[in-house]
Amino acid sequence: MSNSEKTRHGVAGHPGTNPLTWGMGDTLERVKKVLRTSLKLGADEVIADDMPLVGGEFDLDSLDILLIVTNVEKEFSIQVREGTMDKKAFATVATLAAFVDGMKK
Amino acid sequence: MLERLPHGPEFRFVDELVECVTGERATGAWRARGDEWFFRGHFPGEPIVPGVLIGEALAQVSGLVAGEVFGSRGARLAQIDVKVLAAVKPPATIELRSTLTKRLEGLVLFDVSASVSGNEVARGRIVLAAV
Repeated sequence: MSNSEKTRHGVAGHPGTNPLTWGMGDTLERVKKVLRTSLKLGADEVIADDMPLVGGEFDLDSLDILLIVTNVEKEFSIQVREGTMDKKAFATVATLAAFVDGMKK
Repeated sequence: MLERLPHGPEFRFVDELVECVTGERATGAWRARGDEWFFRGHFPGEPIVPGVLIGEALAQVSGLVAGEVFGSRGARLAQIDVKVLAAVKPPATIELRSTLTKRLEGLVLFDVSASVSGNEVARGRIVLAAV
């Protein structure tokens, strides 16, 4: 693996080979875009699919999650109602993308 | 409804509630006269309404929008992200608008704006949290 694939957030994701993210490439990338915007990360910041959102290096707090959920709603034209979101959805980038995919159906 | 605000008169920045749909939105007004205590220091001889107090006024209106959402224990300010777009000199009637946009896990997000004579002087977002 080249150094360019390594970031402070882990290793770049490969949706085509990771069984957790099969078929989620577009959603996954758009979720990462939301994270970059919401967390004021650089546009070229590589975010790993399995990067923990709660705990780990980012350790998002409830205010961060509120902001991200709001921005995810705008990005995907969905509405996340209170009580419908399992906290496990914020385990990693991939689980958040899976949650969004579930909401889109 | 203004009596719902827990603030004392010296720190209440909503004088009138024009419209309030609990759980949705509200419009209020703060009349900055120019003889309030903070104008003695902000600034001597050149009074300007402190931007942070416009933010506080918007938070107070947001608290009124929230109504009973937080129950009897009330709420506290958790986050404020408000751009101050123009200086406001007293006397001025500042129109305050707040719309509840999201509730999640004890947090409530509001889109807020303030204007004077139809000109927007501040806008942003405020989050209140259950105590």
